[in-house]
Amino acid sequence: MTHGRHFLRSLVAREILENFLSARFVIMSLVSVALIVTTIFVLTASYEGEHRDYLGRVRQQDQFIDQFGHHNRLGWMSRQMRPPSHLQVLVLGIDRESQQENFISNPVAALLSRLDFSVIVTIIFSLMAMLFSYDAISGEREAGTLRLLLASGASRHSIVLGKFLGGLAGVLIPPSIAALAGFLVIALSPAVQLTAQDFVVFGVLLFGSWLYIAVFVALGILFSARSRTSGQSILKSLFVWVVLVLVIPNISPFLAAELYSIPSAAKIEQETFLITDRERDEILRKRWKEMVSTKYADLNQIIALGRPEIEARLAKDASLRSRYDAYSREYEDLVKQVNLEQRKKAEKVSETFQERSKRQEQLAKTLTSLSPSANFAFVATDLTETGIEAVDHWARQAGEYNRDMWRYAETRYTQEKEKNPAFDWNDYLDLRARPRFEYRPSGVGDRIAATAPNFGVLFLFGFVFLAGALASFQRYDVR
Amino acid sequence: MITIWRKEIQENITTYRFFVLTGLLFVLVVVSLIVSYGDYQLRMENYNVLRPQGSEAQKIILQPQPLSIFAKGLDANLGRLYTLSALGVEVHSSQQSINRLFSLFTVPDMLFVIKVLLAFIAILFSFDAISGEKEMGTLKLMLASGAKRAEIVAGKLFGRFTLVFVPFALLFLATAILVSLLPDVSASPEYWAGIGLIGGASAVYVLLWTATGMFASALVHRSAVAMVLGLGIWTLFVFVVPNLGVTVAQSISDVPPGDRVEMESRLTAIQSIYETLQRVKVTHEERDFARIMTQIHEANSHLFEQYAPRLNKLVGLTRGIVRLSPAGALGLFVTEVAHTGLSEDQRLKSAVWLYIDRNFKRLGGLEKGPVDQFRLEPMPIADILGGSTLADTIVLILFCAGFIGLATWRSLTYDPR
Repeated sequence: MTHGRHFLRSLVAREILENFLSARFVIMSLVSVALIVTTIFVLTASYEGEHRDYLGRVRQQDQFIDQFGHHNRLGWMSRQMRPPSHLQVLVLGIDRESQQENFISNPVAALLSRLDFSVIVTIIFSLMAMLFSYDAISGEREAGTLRLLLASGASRHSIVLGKFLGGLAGVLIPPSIAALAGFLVIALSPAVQLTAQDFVVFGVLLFGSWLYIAVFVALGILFSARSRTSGQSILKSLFVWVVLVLVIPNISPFLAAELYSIPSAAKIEQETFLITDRERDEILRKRWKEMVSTKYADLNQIIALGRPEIEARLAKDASLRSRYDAYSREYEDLVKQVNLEQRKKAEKVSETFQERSKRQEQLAKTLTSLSPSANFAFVATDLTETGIEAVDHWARQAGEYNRDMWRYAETRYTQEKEKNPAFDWNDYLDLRARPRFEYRPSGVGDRIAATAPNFGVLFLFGFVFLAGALASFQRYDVR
Repeated sequence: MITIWRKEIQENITTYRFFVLTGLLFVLVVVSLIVSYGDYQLRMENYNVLRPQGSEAQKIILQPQPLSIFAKGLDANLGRLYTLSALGVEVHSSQQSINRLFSLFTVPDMLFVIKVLLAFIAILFSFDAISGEKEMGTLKLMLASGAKRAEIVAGKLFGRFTLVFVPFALLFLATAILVSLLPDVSASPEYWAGIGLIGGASAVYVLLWTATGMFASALVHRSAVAMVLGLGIWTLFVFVVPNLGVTVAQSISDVPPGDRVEMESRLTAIQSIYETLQRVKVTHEERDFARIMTQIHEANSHLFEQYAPRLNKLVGLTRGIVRLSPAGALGLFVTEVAHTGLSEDQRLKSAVWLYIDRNFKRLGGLEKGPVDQFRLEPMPIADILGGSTLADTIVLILFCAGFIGLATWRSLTYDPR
């Protein structure tokens, strides 16, 4: 046992030394640092502009509500905006602009992807990991040193483990140096205010990158132990790399859309719009007619008049005014009631649709988890609050805020109406003391917990590939 | 040269590498076709459900283009439903905005296969062209047999190019014929012209990457190092330059996001309605909806006219930076040819805005009479070739010539010992 450990230790030391002294290690370190530092630098500048614009928009909308606030168009004027996550300097995740929700959205965002730390790790570092490990076994065989290693008493599994651990050290150091340099750029930038939580996020993200890179080192060794020559090994490794990194994650959302089809989103939007607009107007007209004919038949003639004439008639007759006020109040209640009913009906239609969309999204997520790169992408986006979870988290808070705001506006409206019965929905409503929307990102603990399944899958991939390499090497012909 | 070309093909066609890489290409093309056609069918269904029935002039939706099966580009955007009113344009969700995983990953269409994977395969086919012969000791023998260096380089370059491009061209042609026979696809002469142009651009692109692989091969003396170098250049031009270029362009141009313009337009509309209603209350005059609508329309026009040139400038700058990479230039070229590129998006938006401007009174019910139907035919191929694709073509050819030049220069001075 001690003998085995000794061999393993010396094998790992030899691998590390060989790697550190190789030209590819030096090149990889320089390339990694240059790439990550440049990317983070560019993304920091981009975030600064985006953040400034976000603050400007919030301020402008706030000032508008202060100046022109009124009950009738409150939902239209008070729209909550998702703040850019300061950690998007590391991971861009779901880009707001790429959703193209506006007529004048920048189309580039929907056509071309952008480079960030996560893309560098998923594509470039995984490729580097394979290039470091594809000749681990087959290369030693070709050089004739594999037989010497075995003859010196090293066990087969210690050779594989030694290659894995030694190779890992060589492959992990350049990205780690680069990531630290990148983080230093962020820490020194005045545009990004880092908190203690961000350091935890960074640590976990770095650990996730190590785990992801380790999966590809294990994969390279697996194919190396299943090939006679390094030429064959690299081809097999790159074949699987293409499938795992470039094919599975990209085809999964499309496959999910075909396997679990959902109706057109625009059709549902139209349907809900009809419910809360045209259908609402029809119902309202019908009930209003009923209301007038059963309770306010005496006002039939007055109601038919234009607003200036009504005002003139009411000014002359006090009893008519009180009767008309009673009618106005009941009409307002009716509008509220119909609005509420139709809104509920529309909400039900969109909720059903949302549930089905969620199911499609979940299916796509399950399919993509067959690829280590997708799992890493979920880890990276969820940790940095730039992924699907963050968008949902924000949407929940914005929804809660809108309800609070709605309640507040209702209370304020009632207060004004009590003071002045002539006050209506289009009159200025002082909302300056309203609650303000402040987005609270989810806690680091929750974010880490959310990524646990993805970490689990990454571990599993690494374990399976390494176990495969150990098993394959047991039957490897070293001649 | 012909002898070396033939020898290259004969030697490589039976190798494990040819089998694996061509197999990979076959799998990718088939998967891409299945996925892209399925997606096209969904977009078609969406279009058929949402397209204006009869005289619904306020609805605009473009039909998906058959070539979008090969290069999806901005098709999800171009195929959105726009609802027009005197207040402006409402953009409805695209079919893919529901599943947000689409925004996290790339579209695996034929363009992706060509841009990323065909380039990758070309590198893996050519990285050992010179260094491999040197390692085996056959380079000296070739030179001793009287073959000229330039002939060796040309023979090897075109030999390896043939090995990558011919299987791809056959697969691509088979795919194009299959797609033309599928239901929902109308294969017009424009379709075949587009296929021809995409095929031509792919040929230049594959030649370019084969030359890059050969350049890497002639730069060093070990094939393993040449492969790392070749894949390094591939990573730089396929992922780093175009993807970083987008952010760089955004940072330089400092154009605010669409959200800001949307907010300004929304708040202007609310203010206009609010102020009119308040004035009516005081003056007791009738509510003048025509005035409100005209005010809102004028404000929106002002915003659009101010913002559109800035956005177009940003798009132009992004194009310029992205073109610093052949993969970027190819992506721009192919999407333009497939009618799913940036120009088509700009064209649609300008056309929609002009249409609103022309019909604003009738759309808003301020004037009686029928509104003419919105029409926008895809840009003719001749116009596409005269537009921004000319620059993309020049860039691709320059990159190709540059890498062939580099590969030749290094090979001519290569030490075969």
